[in-house]
Amino acid sequence: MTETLLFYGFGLLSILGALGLILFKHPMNGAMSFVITLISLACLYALLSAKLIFAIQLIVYAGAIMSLILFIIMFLNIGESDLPEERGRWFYLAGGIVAIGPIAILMQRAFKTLPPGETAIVGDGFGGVQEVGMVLFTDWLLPFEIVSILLLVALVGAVVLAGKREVSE
Amino acid sequence: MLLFLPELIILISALILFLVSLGTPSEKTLRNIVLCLTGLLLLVTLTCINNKGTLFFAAYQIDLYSQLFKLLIAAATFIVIVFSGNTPGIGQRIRAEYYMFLFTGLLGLMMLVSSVELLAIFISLELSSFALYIMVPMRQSSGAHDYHLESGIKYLLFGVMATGFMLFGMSYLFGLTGSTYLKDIIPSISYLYNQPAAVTGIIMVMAGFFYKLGLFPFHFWVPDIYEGAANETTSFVAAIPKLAAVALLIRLLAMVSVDGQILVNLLLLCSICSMFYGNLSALAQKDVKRILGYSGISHAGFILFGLLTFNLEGYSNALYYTIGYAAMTLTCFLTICAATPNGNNLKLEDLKGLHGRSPLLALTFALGLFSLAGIPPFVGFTGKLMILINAFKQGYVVPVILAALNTAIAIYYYLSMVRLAYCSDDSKESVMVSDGWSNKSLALLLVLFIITMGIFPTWFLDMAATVIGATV
Repeated sequence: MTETLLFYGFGLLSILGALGLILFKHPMNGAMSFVITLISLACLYALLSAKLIFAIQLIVYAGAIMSLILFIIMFLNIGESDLPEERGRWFYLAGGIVAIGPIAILMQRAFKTLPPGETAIVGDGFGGVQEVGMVLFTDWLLPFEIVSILLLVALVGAVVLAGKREVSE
Repeated sequence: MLLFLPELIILISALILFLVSLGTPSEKTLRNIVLCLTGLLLLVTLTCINNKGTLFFAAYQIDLYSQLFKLLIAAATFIVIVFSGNTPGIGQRIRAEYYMFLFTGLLGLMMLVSSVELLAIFISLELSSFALYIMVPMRQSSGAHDYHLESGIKYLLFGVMATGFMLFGMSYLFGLTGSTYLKDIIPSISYLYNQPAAVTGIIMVMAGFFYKLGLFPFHFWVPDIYEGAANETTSFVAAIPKLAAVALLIRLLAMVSVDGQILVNLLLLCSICSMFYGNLSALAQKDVKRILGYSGISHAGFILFGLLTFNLEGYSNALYYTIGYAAMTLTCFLTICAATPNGNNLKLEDLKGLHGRSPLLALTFALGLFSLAGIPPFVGFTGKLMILINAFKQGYVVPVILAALNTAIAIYYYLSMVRLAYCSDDSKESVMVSDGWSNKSLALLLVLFIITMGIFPTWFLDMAATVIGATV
């Protein structure tokens, strides 16, 4: 019972945070409400007893990435006058809600018509460092290894694109 | 080790180019290095074609199907590298890095066609996309056209959106079947592919490949990126990721069969819409690369249409058509790259009097366009004919009529380009286009390939059927 309540609570919080990210005009407010989403997502992971993901979500996303984003927003020193004028945002919002309606109905049907299946209660070991490490280095060894090349590409790419401006000037 | 040889060669090539980029290589050295590496890759892929086996806890499958696609990808890359010459569209200082990204993107695509596990598919797709995200804005800015950064951002944003859809869909498939291995997913999903949850999941996973293929409704990036990226990058984007996307679509469509009516209708709608969208929008364009972009959207619709009959014949027709499409597009882009030695975009009016400036280029361009338009005896005609006949046999009467209508629309803009190249004289000062022997022989080879494929489709179709039959 408590779990269900907590689930709905955190789920609602994460949706509210995401809405705030879209609706707040100032980037700083948007970023702060996004932090709420990230933290409530971390709590949802904790409810699934996925300990490692919970910790990673808090440390990496809510901690490192968000502080980087906040740092950049502060670095740019955005004031009211720098923000673009958004005309008709309520109009767009209404349009978005209308568009989401059918998708929501589809999703509801999708979950209602699912064939009955047993949801196994996960054991104590689920979501720990050791268990994640085990699947990471057996079943998912290949993706794990390719990620290193992906990071190399991202690294060199960032340098190339950032250094490009000097050349053209 | 030997099974993984082509990928290892690419990886080592990318690392060599990374080392080269640290120094200041001359234009000629760099080009020779890249040519050698690509030639080596092509040779190695050719020798590895009969390899069979699985690697990495069965997440990586090496069979004739994957090796054939690897060979096609390697060959197409080799062609792009040869005709892009000194890559005038890319600044001299970042050329080594450019090739490094090209090779890492290639690595992603090669790993993609062998991956049979959702996470491996996802990461390899991302690897290939990331490299392209960076290659698109690397174009040298030359004042007249400065939208390469804009198109880079657009490509990235659309790509991230498609990736989001795909990951969400993968989470559905994982949730429904409890496995990320395709070999476990396909049998379990076959009981529930008419359930809304499974339909949503499958469609969203396919969205990622629709994006790579430039299919409606994930086509919005195509014209802008074709126009904004350097000519060499566009040639790469236009042909090579599409091969890999089709490889994966065939693998994934094994999840569905004709009984999955909702899915089939939805995909049929996507395919017809992309034909109409691509062909109608192409009518109003002024930039040759943009026209080819829109034509690419409509051809992607044709490929999907071929896949939708869900029989071996349909799959092999689609594969045949994809190989043909890659050859036709490369033929057209060869002309574009050769006709713009300064790396600018080719406007429609720049085509005027091309036959006077370079007869061979004009002929190659015309034959490539004839083939794209679907005029016999080229591969474009045979491929479309096969796909339409097969779909007709399956009872898709209305879609076949709509597709045939599209071929008629498409002829107009293809032939108007040919008309400009041949039937109008250049009023401006005529700059002779100098085409080296490598471009000439390549043009000849591609045209011969297009004609051979068009006249003798049986051998290619049989080969495609054997290869796919062993996999699906």
